[in-house]
Amino acid sequence: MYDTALATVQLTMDAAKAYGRDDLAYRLSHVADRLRDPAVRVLVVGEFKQGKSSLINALVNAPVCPVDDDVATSAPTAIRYAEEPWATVTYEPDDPSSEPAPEAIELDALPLYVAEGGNPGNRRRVRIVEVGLPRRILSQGVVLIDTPGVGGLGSAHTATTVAALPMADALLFLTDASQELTAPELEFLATARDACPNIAFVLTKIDFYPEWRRIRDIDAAHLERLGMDVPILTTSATLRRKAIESKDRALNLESGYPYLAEHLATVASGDANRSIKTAVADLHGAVDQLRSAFVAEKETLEHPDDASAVVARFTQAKAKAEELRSKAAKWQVTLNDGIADLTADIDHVLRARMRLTTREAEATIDEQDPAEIWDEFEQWLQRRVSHDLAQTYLELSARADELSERVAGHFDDGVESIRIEPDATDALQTAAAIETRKRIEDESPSIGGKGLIAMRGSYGGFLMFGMIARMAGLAMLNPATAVIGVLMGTKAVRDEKRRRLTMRRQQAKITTRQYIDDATFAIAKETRDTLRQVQRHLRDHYQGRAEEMNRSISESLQAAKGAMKIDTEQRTRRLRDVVAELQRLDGLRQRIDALEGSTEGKPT
Amino acid sequence: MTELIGRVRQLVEQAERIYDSTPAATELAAIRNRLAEPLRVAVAGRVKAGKSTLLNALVGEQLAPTDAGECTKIVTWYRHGPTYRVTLELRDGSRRQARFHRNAGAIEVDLGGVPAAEIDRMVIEWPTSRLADMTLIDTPGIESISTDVSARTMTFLAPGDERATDADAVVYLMRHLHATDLSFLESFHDAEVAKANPINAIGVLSRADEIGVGRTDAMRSAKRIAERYRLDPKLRALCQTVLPVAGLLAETATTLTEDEFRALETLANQPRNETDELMLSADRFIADHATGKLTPLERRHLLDRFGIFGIRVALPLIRLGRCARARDLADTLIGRSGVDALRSELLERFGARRDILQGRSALLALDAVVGAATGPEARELSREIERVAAGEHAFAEIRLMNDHRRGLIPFPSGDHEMVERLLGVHGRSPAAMAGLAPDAPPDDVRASLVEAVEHWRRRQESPLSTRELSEAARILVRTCEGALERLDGRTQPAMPLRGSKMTYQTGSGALT
Repeated sequence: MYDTALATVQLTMDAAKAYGRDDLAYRLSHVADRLRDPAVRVLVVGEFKQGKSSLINALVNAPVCPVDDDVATSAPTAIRYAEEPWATVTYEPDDPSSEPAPEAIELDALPLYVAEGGNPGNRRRVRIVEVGLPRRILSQGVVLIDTPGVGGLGSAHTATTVAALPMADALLFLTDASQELTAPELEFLATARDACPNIAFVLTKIDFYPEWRRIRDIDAAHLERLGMDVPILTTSATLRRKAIESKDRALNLESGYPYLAEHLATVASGDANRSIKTAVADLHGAVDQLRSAFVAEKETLEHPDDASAVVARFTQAKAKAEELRSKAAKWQVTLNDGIADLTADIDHVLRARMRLTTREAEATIDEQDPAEIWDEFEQWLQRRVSHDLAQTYLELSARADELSERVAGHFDDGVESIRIEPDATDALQTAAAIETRKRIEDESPSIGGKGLIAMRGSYGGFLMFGMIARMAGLAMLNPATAVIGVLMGTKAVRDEKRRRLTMRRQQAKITTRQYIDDATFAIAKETRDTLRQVQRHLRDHYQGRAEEMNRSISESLQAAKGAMKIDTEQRTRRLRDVVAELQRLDGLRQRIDALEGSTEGKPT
Repeated sequence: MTELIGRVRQLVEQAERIYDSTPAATELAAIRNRLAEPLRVAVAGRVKAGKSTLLNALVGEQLAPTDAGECTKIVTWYRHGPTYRVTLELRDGSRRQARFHRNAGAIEVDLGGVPAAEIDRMVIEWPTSRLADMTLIDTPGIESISTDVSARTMTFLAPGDERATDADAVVYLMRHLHATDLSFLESFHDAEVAKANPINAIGVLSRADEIGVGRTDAMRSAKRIAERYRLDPKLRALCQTVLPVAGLLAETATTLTEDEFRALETLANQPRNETDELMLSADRFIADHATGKLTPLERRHLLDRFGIFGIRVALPLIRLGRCARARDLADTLIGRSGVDALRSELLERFGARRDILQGRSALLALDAVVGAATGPEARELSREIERVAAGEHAFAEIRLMNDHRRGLIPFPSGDHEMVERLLGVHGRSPAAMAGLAPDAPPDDVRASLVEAVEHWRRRQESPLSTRELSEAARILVRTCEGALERLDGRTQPAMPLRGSKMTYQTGSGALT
């Protein structure tokens, strides 16, 4: 399917070059590039230990993702099609602004980079591992992406996964048949539902849990409550492995993998349909522009008397095209205003989220002793902030899409809207880089100090005991009395403890606010930068389209004006040539239509 | 009765005299009665963690209903009693007998129209020897984790406000999860029954058989994972150790019937290719058309009882002739399931320190009653309570253990192993504390302990030691001396405070 599309794009490109429209040819070369590398990114997500890596291994029948009974995956892996197997690793760069280069690695060495055992907690700072494999299932452009376990809604992993959602073409959500969906899983699904168009629900390990059908039905009901009408697949990686070993087709069917493969093929062809439809729109636009000069010339040649009217019409169109090209064009205003609004709104949303986080954090500090909980609290705070960030980016992404469509509305047909994919990774890294600056140490006094306070407060205690002692005729300040005095002084120790606790709480709150302030500042800058990039991207894109249209209309006007000057004798010959050119272009158009027809009737 | 329990009992009786015919009297009587009871062990964890299954394995009968029902929402006590009896204790303080019957072993209680919300607890008395040394408390599962990413989920990490609890010790069940996961830690968040601390809590990696998704070496992986948890600093502050238990296997093995054994035998004697075919998946195992002598209903029963893992483990044992009788198979499977290790851990770790755990519980409860009161007699009593709490060497050890596990004492890293050993992590016998085999010659044990005494005395007196460290060293010297005395058949002196100028107080309150 892609081959036909590519051939058609090539033909149109040749035509554009032949007619001297290098600008159109250049744009079509990008269309061809997109078709040549049709990556369909399928994100495999789920809590840890749900069998994500096992599923991918069973699907491609190769141990590309390390599997372990204990937590295994620590860094994401992308598996794509290749004629020969290869693998690369990309590290997080030390300098966040530089773009890291992938390094080639041996396939056998994969666990050293991806597995919790070889790379615990992703200490090697692996950004992503990529693997190429000669597998038919991947040949339609499917790229499987294995993610570390989601691990609770608040975890940093989730934040990264959520941020990656708008960039995924499809999602496989995995959960095993041991129990029904948990609250964090449902929460994640609800987020995913709004962020990713194509989700499939996969119930794993069905060979091991006799009750898997019951669990499947309960989960299906959960999905229905979320309003998610998604395919539900049931799989067993163990059965798949055994089926391949024994070449047992019935067993393979029981493993559920043929259906999974089918689903991926549907996803891929749906994606192919979408990208071909996008290409068809581009091609139609290009052919229309190529035609317009000939159409103008033909009209003038056929009706020399009305020539001036044709010229007038194109002059008017040119004025409009000029306007689109100018800085003051309405679409420019929409874009600039839209970005300004968006910047303000996102900033507001971010600050509102952060305020809520601050409030929750402070409430926690008030309930607890910061010295006791600081480690967990710090982790929670970081996770919470990256979660806020990921949500903000989801919103940014959706709103930028909307804006792009509004801008496109200012153009005539053929200037279709383009999808915006802001990159959240940079911003996420920034958040991780801001470390909580201070740790709240339990600066309680040493035992000596504590003893001192106790002594001070237990003065009354001494006195009382002293009196009892005197009455009993015992020596007053013997060691035992001192001990008892310390015991009775507990209240004083408690008071001192309370005072220090209050101090620690204040300290903790200051540190928390500082962290959130820093994070908000850095994230706000990142989102502004992202939006500026979005703005530049959209502006360049639509400016390019305006230039193209302007040039097409100028050439049409030129052609019409030229045709007016031709004498009668030459006119007939020229008309014949023009009609022939138009026929050639019509032929091209029919091929494009046929291409479009081939995508219709197929599921998208 | 030990000396400690005796002293605590005296205090309680003293309080009863003071509070005679006041509302606190019943509570005090309950505290006194509790001192004579067996150790109370609560089983806690999140829903679906396998609490009831483990409980059945510990009791050796399928008493607890293992599927959802109204009963699992009520705190249920399983205690030793002369007859079979179920009592409902209502929130308004009244109690009533409840009728019950058994359905395939599980007790089904007729609540008699009382709403579950009004029942404080249900007490099931059962005449089985396994409950004689341990009362078990089944807790309702902590509901599926809260959805918001609230910082409040960390509340359980603050053992600061220690209060009296119903259980003396806690077994916490957790499924295999990630150490950084919030929900993982949340399985410890059960303030209702008992708070975890490294003295009275044991973690159990439950449903261990599911870890390998049916592979027969699952328990080995489970042990490895439990080991990782055991070393996790967060968990170390919450419980002493983490053990893997394959709950379903344990439950089935302790209640294995002859019929079930014969069914397994039939299965084991079928041709290998036939059983291999059956064992491919749960679906295949119970398929109607499968070959073999067992009916689909019989196979279904086996699967429910053993799970795929249990059958896969059991078949080779029968086939190789290692287990020729039901009794043999039950013993082997119990050993494999890890429940034996848990039981001996409970008896060894908790049973041996029963008086300390119970004394501690009682003092906490007593303090709660007396602490709020005013008046000279109450104040006097309050001081007495505090004196016992602060003076008892065993409590000093508990506090030391807590603070050590929470990383509050700057022990040199080379000392850690010895500290844990002396504080009885491997057992309270002098040999275990010396880090030697149980049958080690007494002279070796003595030599090792004497060396330890010298080591800690040096630490205590070293000018380089901080106050916390030298205080901890003082307690450890005392601990070693105690072990030496026991080794030589001498008893501990009544007031271990003699000669010490200061009690050990760094934690949060004298009893933590």
